[in-house]
Amino acid sequence: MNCKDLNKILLFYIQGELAPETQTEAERHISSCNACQALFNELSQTLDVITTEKNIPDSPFFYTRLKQRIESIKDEQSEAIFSSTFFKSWHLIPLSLLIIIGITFGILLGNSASTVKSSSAILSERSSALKASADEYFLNDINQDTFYAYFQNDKK
Amino acid sequence: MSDKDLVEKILQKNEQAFRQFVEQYQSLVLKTCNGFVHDADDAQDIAQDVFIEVYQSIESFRNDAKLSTWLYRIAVNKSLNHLRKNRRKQWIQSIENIFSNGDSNANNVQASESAGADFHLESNERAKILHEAINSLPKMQHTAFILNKYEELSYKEIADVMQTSIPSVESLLHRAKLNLQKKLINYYKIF
Repeated sequence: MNCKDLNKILLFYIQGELAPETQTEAERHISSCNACQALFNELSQTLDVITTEKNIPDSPFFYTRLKQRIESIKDEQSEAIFSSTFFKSWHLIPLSLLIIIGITFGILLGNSASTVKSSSAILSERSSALKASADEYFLNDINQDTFYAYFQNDKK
Repeated sequence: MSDKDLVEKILQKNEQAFRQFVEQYQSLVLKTCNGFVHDADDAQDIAQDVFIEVYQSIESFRNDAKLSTWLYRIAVNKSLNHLRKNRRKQWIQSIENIFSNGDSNANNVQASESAGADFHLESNERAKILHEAINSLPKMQHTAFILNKYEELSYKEIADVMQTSIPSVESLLHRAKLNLQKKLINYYKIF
């Protein structure tokens, strides 16, 4: 085994994850090579940091702090619900005003429409009366013509 | 109390049950979060977020998976989100630092003056190198590595948390270690 070969498996050697024969070969090389021995030392000490960091102590006030945070989140949430309901109800007032104005306008429009309708009804009555009298006039004319034609024929 | 009973009582907003649940799983969540963020204070905050999410969405927990598996998933997601936000902040800060070079020079002088305790500086430096190497891993490899090395989960447990197969987990871990090895060796060979 040379230095290049060892560099490919050094971490696995440190973790004891190599096959027994490979582990022995690596050990033999490290003991005979100063550079690889130095590299092995550095890498081992660096990986030992993991062992130190694994032992993080529990905080005695962890649950107390957690409980306080949960309570404050609940308070914030109920405040948010209240303010959103309040905010939404503010929108109802101008909306209601708009609806009332719309209904009033509609009623006024309806009234003016019915007035126009009665005027047009009167107009149509008059025009039908006029027509009736006009028909009477023409009818009289037609009667006169027939009447004269009759007498003319009689003369012949 | 079994997990099933715990969940039922928490659904009924039973505070005692929730407290018991927090005390039972606090360590698990804290260690997982710390494995990702490498900062005890940040890990505490994220762990709190995890339990708040559990409290608010316990009804969405289906009894087909273990409670711990569900907790791991939430912890991993929250931790990765935190890292993403931090990267954005750091990127913005680096842009700001470009325009305020004077401040960064003052920081360098201060750091060299306080480097009296060589041992502590060295161990902090090692931690920083390791964290940078781990954080540079692709997301899936990163997650699998943290769950294996910090939480000491088995391949099966990791597969359940990540919702993938055991062979995938084996492959992810192998690639993560190869990448980590390459980064660390390259760093130490330069120095």
